[in-house]
Amino acid sequence: MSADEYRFRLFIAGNEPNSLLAEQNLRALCLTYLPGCHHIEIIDVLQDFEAALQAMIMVAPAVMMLAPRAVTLFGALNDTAKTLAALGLKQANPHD
Amino acid sequence: MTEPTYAELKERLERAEGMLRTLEHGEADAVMSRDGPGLVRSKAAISMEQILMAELRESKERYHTLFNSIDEGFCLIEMIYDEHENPIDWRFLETNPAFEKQTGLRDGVGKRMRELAPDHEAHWFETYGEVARTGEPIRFQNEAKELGGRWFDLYAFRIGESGSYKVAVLFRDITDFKNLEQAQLDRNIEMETATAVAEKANLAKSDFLSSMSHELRTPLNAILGFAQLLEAGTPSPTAIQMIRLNQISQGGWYLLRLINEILDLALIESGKSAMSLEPVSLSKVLLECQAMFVPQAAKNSIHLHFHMFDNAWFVHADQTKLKQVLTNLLSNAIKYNSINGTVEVKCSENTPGRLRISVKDSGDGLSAEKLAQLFQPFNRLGQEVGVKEGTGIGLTVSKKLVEMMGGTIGVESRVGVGSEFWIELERDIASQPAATIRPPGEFVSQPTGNASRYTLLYVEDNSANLMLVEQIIEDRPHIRMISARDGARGVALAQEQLPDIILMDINLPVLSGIEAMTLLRRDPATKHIPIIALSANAMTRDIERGVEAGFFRYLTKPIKINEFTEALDAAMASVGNQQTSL
Repeated sequence: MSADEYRFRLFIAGNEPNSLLAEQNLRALCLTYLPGCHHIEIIDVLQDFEAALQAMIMVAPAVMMLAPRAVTLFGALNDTAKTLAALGLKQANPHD
Repeated sequence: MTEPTYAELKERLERAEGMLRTLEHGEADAVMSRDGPGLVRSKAAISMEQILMAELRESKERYHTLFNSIDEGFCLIEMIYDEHENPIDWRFLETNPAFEKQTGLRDGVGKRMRELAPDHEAHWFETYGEVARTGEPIRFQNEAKELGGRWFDLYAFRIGESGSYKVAVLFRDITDFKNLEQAQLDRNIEMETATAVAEKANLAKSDFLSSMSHELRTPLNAILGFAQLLEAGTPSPTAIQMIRLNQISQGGWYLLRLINEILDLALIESGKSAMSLEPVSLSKVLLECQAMFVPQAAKNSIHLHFHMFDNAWFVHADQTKLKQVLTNLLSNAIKYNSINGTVEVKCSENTPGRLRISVKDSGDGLSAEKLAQLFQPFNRLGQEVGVKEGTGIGLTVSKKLVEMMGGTIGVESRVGVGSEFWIELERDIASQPAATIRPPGEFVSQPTGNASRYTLLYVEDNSANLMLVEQIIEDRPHIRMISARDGARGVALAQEQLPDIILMDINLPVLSGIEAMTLLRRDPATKHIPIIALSANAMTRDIERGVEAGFFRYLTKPIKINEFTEALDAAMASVGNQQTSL
């Protein structure tokens, strides 16, 4: 497993509360479920507005998982179970 | 369906839903508009937020509608395997509204396929099992008998990584299309069969006409030949007998022309009429036509006028066929003209590269209705009740011939003023003067004062013809006739008797007239003997070929007595010349 098998791009709005929450939640989730195999890139939409538009992110905070597959989630990521399911990280795999 | 539009749509819908939910739950910090980001808690952003929410609701609605109305079926399935890892079934995880409509399966989600359709074909499970195993998407068409014999066009791809048993299937019911395709296929086969049958029938018809024409010509030989003998014989027929003989002759010649025309058409239609396209001098062909038609025009009190034109004009054509077409047009123009009418022949280059020859008469002209029926075989435009003879084939043959030469034929006509028939052929710019065809010899019939006996060998299998020739030469005591009934015997007799002149039928048993001639030409003892061909192959081309092949003359049946005796005299004269030059 390479270090950045799971790559995320987190769109935040400065130090706004939901953005801080989203970053905290994502980091915690990665440390628990994807230790040593994730990479998080943070984009502040207040600084780099173009990047948000290009990714069609109209609301911040938002997180895009770029690899291994494309998934985009919005909000503070407070519900870990839902987030994991949406990212496909807790699929029941009969072969596991 | 190469693009899984369903998946795209689904993603957009989920994205809109996600953003909307975030805004509604107060989890958004900033919203983006075209002008830039705005913080939600700032007053300025409130209206932005509301606008965005409205927009998102609208797109969510739109995507929902689209998603529900998409007529591609979709299902997400999870494969189920037996203990040997063989795919034996699947469970439906997700279906879209079109799924039920397309498959007829109700409330599939959560159920197994075998539960819904126990006899679903094994290949379906194998195919999707393979997609799940390899991750290779597949696009295919197949029939599902268990689902009411429907045909589907499907696209299946694995969802998730290696090890995932989930397969997404997008599909469309193509039963109607398949039925249509099959019907079209059946129709095509039917049509191909029908076309083949029609072509075969047409060929058979042409063959029949062709052989019938030959068959009809043989008895006509006897009718015309003996009628001529009676006319010229002694004692001379009485005036009444003469009138009756004329009727026989006229009927006979008319029948012969008719047969020739039918044969022409049959040959063209069966594709047996060969074209030899070459640069043909227009002035040469038209001069020949002029010479041919001046007597006929004079007899009908028609003024025939050939307008002058550029002598250097050549067309890309078959000389014989071109002459045949012009002969037909000229003969029609004279036949269907008014008393003291005129016929004008003109050449022009209306379109660069195309030469037009037009034949204009001053006859009754043709109505639009009649013009439409022109060029159809056997259509004499009402002339069948008139006094003028004809088969109504001439123009059909002309049209086909002109088209075979890459040309066009047409007509302009005004009722009461006259008609102008024209043909247009490709101009031959790099024109070499056409190969000069040896003009028919102008032999003057010489009374043979020479009392020496000439021996004439006639090779012929038809006894009526033998008798006819025998009677023709009866009043020429200086000619002795011997005969043979087939080509081989003819050659043997010629080598044995060394006759002065040979008269040769072409269609002979054992050895054809052409083969016999070739053998005689090879033999030094017989190679000097003039051979006159006498054949029912009456096509102009045959005649030219015959002369080229080395026949002294090529006469066509039925025998025209004048032409025959003239050829005989010429042959005797040539024998005499040979004798003196020796």
